[in-house]
Amino acid sequence: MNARIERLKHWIRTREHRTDSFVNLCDFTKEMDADNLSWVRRVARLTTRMCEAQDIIINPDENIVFIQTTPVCSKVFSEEEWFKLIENKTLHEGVTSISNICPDWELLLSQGLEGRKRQAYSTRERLMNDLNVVDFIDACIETIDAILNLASRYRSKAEESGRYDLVEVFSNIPANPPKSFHEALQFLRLVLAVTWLIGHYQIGLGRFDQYMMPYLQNDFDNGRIDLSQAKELLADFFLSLNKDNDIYPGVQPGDNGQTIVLGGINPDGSSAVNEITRMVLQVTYELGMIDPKINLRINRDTDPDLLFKAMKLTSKGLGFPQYLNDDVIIPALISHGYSIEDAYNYSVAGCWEPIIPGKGMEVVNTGAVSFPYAADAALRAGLANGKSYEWMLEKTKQNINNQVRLILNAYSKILLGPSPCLSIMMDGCLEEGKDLSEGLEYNGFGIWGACAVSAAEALAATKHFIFDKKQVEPADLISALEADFEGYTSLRQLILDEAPRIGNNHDFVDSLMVELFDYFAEACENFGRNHRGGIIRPGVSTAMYYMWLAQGHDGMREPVVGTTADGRRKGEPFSANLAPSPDAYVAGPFSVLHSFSKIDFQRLFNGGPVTLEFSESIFRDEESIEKVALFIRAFIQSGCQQLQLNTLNRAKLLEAKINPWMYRDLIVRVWGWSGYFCELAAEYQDQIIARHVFGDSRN
Amino acid sequence: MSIQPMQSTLGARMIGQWFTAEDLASRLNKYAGMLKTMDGGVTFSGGEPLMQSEFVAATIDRLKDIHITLDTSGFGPLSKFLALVKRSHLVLYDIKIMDERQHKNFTRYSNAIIKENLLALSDSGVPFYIRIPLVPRVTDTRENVAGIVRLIKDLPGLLGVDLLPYNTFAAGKYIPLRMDFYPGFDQSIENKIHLSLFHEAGIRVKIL
Repeated sequence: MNARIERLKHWIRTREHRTDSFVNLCDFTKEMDADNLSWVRRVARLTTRMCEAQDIIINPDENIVFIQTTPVCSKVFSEEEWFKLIENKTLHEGVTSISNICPDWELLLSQGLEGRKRQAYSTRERLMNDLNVVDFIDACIETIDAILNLASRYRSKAEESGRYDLVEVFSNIPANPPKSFHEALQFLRLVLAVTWLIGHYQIGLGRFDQYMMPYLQNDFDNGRIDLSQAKELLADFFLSLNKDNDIYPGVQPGDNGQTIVLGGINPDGSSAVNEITRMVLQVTYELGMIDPKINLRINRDTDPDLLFKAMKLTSKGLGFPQYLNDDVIIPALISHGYSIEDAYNYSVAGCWEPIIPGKGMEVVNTGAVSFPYAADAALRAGLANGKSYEWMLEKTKQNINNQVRLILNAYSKILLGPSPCLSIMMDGCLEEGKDLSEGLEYNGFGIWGACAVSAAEALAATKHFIFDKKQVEPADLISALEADFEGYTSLRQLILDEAPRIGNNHDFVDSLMVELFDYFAEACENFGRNHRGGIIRPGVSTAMYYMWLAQGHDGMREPVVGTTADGRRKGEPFSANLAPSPDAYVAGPFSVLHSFSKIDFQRLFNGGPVTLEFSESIFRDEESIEKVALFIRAFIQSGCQQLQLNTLNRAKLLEAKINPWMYRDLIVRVWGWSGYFCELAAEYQDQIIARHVFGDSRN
Repeated sequence: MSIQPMQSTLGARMIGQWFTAEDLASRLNKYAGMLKTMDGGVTFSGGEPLMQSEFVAATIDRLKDIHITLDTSGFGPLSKFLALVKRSHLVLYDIKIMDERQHKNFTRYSNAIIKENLLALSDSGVPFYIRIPLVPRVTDTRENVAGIVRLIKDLPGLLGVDLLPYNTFAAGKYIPLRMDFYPGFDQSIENKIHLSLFHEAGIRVKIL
């Protein structure tokens, strides 16, 4: 990173780029009411006004510009109208704005906004007798003009500031297809930022290395830029994605879905990895910022050198790249009706849900099924009434089915607002005169099957101690659960020490988890198609529900569970995604992979990574990074779907000392060997923490 | 010997598990494919594999095509040692103190067997690394390290030397075992690392 990039990073990280004019002044509902606009036209007007409301800021150091200067988006309806509109409807995450989809960036870049406008006019002429179509098309045209106007204001400002390079950029894009890599990056930044401006969120950048390569290649061929200039532009672009992430909405700051998917394979089996794939891994490593989130599609033939580069990025401790196993994900998509071409072209939504750029209007995160609740309700009822273990399993299954129905019935009344802005960038909307909220080629609903590990362990503990060994009386277990194990320390210790745990490649408890997931998949499959013609997509992730299902959350549809028979006390969070329980002893990362590889990822294909935490100290030198990169090959071979490797930093280690049960599987390099951080005595931990001060200051 | 729980930061826990050679081998064999994919293998390490050499040998004999590393102090009867060496692909061999009296002083035993076994290892054709735990003013002295270099420098099969800098972790094991820790040397002294002695002898050396 050169001095200019360092300055820019500092400017953004210290929030110096936020000016005094950064205030909320946007309310355009009165104007919309006065003009008596339709919903889709309101959204277009919103885009016009929000674009106009932006101050134009060009920092002399910047090559990729745009800063959002309005922290909050205007509403499009008065409160009264809004409540009428949403009556008896289900809102996704409390709003009607579309989120978590991936535009067809290739289409948008290759046509430019003027190209899309020509398409709009041609459809308007063809379908001019359909007033709804005309209304929608006019909204799209207004939206395009709003973005073009914003761009021309940047052009003027650039002229004023003597930035003739940017004048040239904005003289061409976003109206026309980019003539250079720089123009393509600025195009992306501007359009993606406009989606955020008007209330969309978690709109992905898709297969960035694929659709950007022609522009870079063209620059290379014309001798316009060299590799190091290309990297610098990429750094500029990535920095620009961090400018406004302080105001993007999300469950936690940083939860903003600015994802990039790299690599992958083509339908003919060849590798899609290119120069940009490698550049992105290197530039994000050097920048060390939270955005964009990197995903890397790999398969059994992935070049070891690429895995090494990816592992270097992992060692940086940013929590990405996330590794996606093409050998598992692509066949699963095909078997669920995605065309072969689309399946090979998959990207991911905000986190990990596979979606098709330009063709998916899927709601990938409708809600979560709480496995712990299902198992707990069945266990308590069964124990109290002297029922058999099989009865409890059957009840668990029924409960899972009920939870699936509850979510899907709610979502059969989902209200999605129109989006002329996103429609411009999706396949077929302008061509058919149809807003994307009405549906595209793929219209599935995704559901998370959350915290199956804890549920399977609770069932396994019950079977083991009550039915097999007859070591514990049913009444005692019920009382212990009701008392949150208060006064039942030895029973809890017995469970923690001797009950079978997931992550040890233990057939009995692993197969219970698999069974729970299968019940869940079956419930989704039995539901059939949703009212939008889409399939139901079961997945294995928890998202934020590892916390919420234990502690509750405002407005949550999912049930909260208290103390559970796996020894987890009330309120203690579950493990996130596919990871062993926080207080479980596990043999090692291999056995964890093996346990989770038993899940049928061809059925449970909505995503959710196996999550492992490594300490920075295991990435001590190039040789160690190479060794961990080989672990990725083991992951691919295991047949698991996705993998997330976290490299922990000092702050996390300190927290691990205070809450060891939360970080039970944290692996640290001690000297020539690796061990579990929480199993080391305090002085070992202190030593490693002390070492990390140097590691942190070096980074 | 009575078995009792160990004290860890998570409370008293039972540590360890009983295995037959069949059980352990079948468990390891499940990972054979995965280990091969990542050019990995199985390492038999400390405690000390020579303390249960029949068990280790029986386990190795039941393993599918897996790379085997033996990590040993070399302190054990030659026949048992060779039985494990010939079943291994790589040996990590500890050498601590060259002077026999000093060795007796710190470990209670003579190092004659260790030196003899080292020669046998070199003759066996199995490649090996020498590992030197650096204990301040005990093993990290110029004299001791120079002695080790003299002993190993011309041995066929030597791949290199790993230096293991001193750490205070051993003390932590005494607490859960309810034992007192008297190391017999000053733990607070910084290690001396004599890399040049290895470089001069043309030995590849690495600090772990």
